[in-house]
Amino acid sequence: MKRILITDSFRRILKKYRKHFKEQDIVPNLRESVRIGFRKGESRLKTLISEDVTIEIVKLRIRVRQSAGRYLLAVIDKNEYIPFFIDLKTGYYGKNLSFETNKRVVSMLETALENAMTDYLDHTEENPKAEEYLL
Amino acid sequence: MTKLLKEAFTMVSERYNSQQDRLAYLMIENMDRLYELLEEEADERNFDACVIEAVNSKKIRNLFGRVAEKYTSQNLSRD
Repeated sequence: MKRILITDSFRRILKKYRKHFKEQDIVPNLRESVRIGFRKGESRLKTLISEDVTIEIVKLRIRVRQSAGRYLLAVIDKNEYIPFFIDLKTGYYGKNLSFETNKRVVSMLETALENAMTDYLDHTEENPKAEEYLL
Repeated sequence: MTKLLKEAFTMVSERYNSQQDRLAYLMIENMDRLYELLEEEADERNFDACVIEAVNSKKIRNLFGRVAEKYTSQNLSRD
């Protein structure tokens, strides 16, 4: 059963961009991407295999009205899709991030991924840490 | 000029053969936009490299091991 998991930690990141993107924008965008495949500027950045399970790190684009952004997700065995980071295009992609040093960007991404994966690990029916959407 | 840039100019001028002068004017007039594109592309490459570096960290690799375990046990219990 393929599903999208919007974790609590990704929600916190999304909150910063609430004027531009909402959870309700991410879900159909992701569904569309799974249906048609990569569009311009989208790619698989890394594939890892752990315990016979394939985990891919994918970069996708989103455009809602005047706002354009890019977001990252972890894809587990092409079944579970877990977005963990989003940023906005302001002039050119990542202008906000370009003010940061690479070290800070890496650390920011690492924290976002760590938080999303921790939510995934802690997520249970009794104690949900993510909203599930079927694909 | 690099070999690759020469090849790019040849390709573009062949494609827009009858409009080469207009194309030249367009490029000169839009130098700033070309530079923006160049910066955007460089930023994108930089961002991708940062993502890969973050994913390669020991902490994340360990976390992925646990994620894979949970995913496998979840699937086994569903079967």
